[in-house]
Amino acid sequence: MTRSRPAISAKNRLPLLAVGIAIGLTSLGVFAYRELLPAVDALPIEEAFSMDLPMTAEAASMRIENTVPTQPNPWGVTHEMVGEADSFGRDSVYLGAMAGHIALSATCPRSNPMPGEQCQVIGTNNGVTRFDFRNIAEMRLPAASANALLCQWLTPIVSINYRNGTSVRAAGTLYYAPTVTVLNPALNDPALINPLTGRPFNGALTTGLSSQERLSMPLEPGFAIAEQTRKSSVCVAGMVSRSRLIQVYGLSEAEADRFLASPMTLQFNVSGFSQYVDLAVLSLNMRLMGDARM
Amino acid sequence: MRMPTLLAATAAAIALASAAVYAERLDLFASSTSADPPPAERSPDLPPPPSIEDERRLPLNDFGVTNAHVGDADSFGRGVRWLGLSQGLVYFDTACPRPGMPAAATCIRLGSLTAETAFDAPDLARIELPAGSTASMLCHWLSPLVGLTHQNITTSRVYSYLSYWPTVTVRSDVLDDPMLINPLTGAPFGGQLTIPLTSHGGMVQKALEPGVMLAERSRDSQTCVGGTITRRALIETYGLSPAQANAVFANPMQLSIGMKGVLQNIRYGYIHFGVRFVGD
Repeated sequence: MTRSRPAISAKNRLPLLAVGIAIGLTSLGVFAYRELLPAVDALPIEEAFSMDLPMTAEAASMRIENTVPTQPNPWGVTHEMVGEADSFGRDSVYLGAMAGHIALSATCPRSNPMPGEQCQVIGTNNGVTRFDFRNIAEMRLPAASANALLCQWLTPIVSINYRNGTSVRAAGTLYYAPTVTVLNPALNDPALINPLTGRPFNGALTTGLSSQERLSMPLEPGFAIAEQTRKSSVCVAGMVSRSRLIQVYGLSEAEADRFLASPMTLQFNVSGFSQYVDLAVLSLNMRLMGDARM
Repeated sequence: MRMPTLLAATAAAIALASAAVYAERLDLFASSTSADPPPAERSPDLPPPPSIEDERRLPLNDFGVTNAHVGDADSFGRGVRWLGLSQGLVYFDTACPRPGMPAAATCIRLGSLTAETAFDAPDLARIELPAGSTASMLCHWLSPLVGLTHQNITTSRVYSYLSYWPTVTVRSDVLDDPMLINPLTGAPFGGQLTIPLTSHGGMVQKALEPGVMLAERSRDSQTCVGGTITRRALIETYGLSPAQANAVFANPMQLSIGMKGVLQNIRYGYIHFGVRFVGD
């Protein structure tokens, strides 16, 4: 069934203002970095915004209880009280894990790649190499795996060889931004418009994980150094939540509930850029948690 | 390795690691006159070794385990329960408010780049928990998203740094009894207690050659170890009786998150942190 729907309804203006603020904040880092890397573009808007960012203090001050109805719950809590009422008091459930590996290297494939590794040849050492890997790993969730929340535990293991082959001081840089594309039949309705893009969802939405990082290393002329980092970042608001589907993506309560009751496929992506880097290997690992249906 | 030996070895390792970190901090902030870092050992998130009294106390579980077995017997075997989230935003800039800054954000005005700036931003975020939300513990998932532009405006090598120490203030009517004394302060609780999280290791440091300007952004998470606040800590650290500790969890609580810290040779930056709580 098709139906008409304004791209941005009056109901959604306030939340979209908050989304705009969130995007602005997400871009803060990008502004700061332009001093060093003026050639690099910001992320596409729908990827720069992450459902996992708690919508900034401004959004918090607006409090979302007026725009996002809360599921009935035995605790009687509201978004105002606990930030997200739909999952409150529910048990946490394990929903699986996935891992994807990419490399930026002088030659591809590498001689000893990670399993399933996708590789991109790195450009001139002092030039900017941009990368955009899609669907490096995938998870398929059965219908109704979670009630109102998908929460990621993201663990990137990042190895970088920086090198300054020039005669002037430089900053080695690796910037990477993981995203997830959620394929869901509830988004197949052509009348459903993604407010972040102004286009129909066409069965999918892509969200950031609030886990973009910019790793930098000051490099004297002729200097080379390697580093490896391993840390985890867990969700805040959640990779997907009922309240954000309504607040950010303009879904009705029924549509958001249908989304969460449907099977979904999660595709892991990562994009970014490097400079003064000879080799970078990113192992992006994710475990997914949810809130139990009662 | 037998359990007591393993625990002793673990405790020793933790003590050594803490000593190393503390020594490093003392050295780094030797000239600092402000913003004393909260002692790590006072955070309930770092569980102390089990005591004899602790062994005598009946834990809140049906598994027959004690703290000597599992470190936290009260929550053992219970499901993890979602308890909500909140967030806060702190800017650092030479002029405040920063243009375009959300009204609810906090802006810390930086003085001279080469001088240390201390900041204290209380009550950045709040969560209101209804009575009985959790049985014996609150566990934080703190996720700071930190963006910094380091700059050396001098003619010699300098270190730039940001170090920050999040705290949680727990407000509860149970703590409003004037007879209840906080052993850490010697004063009545006055309805609340403030807990340093173990995330005071949130430190960024760079060595900068003259004239260097460097931007970076990081995002990670620190999850609880012992717990933001636990039944065990209320009894052992804060001197509550088991009944009073149970009452804290059985009554409504307000959680208020704050942040203290110091920074130097930072041109501008921000800490945008989200915090999620889970319980048992």
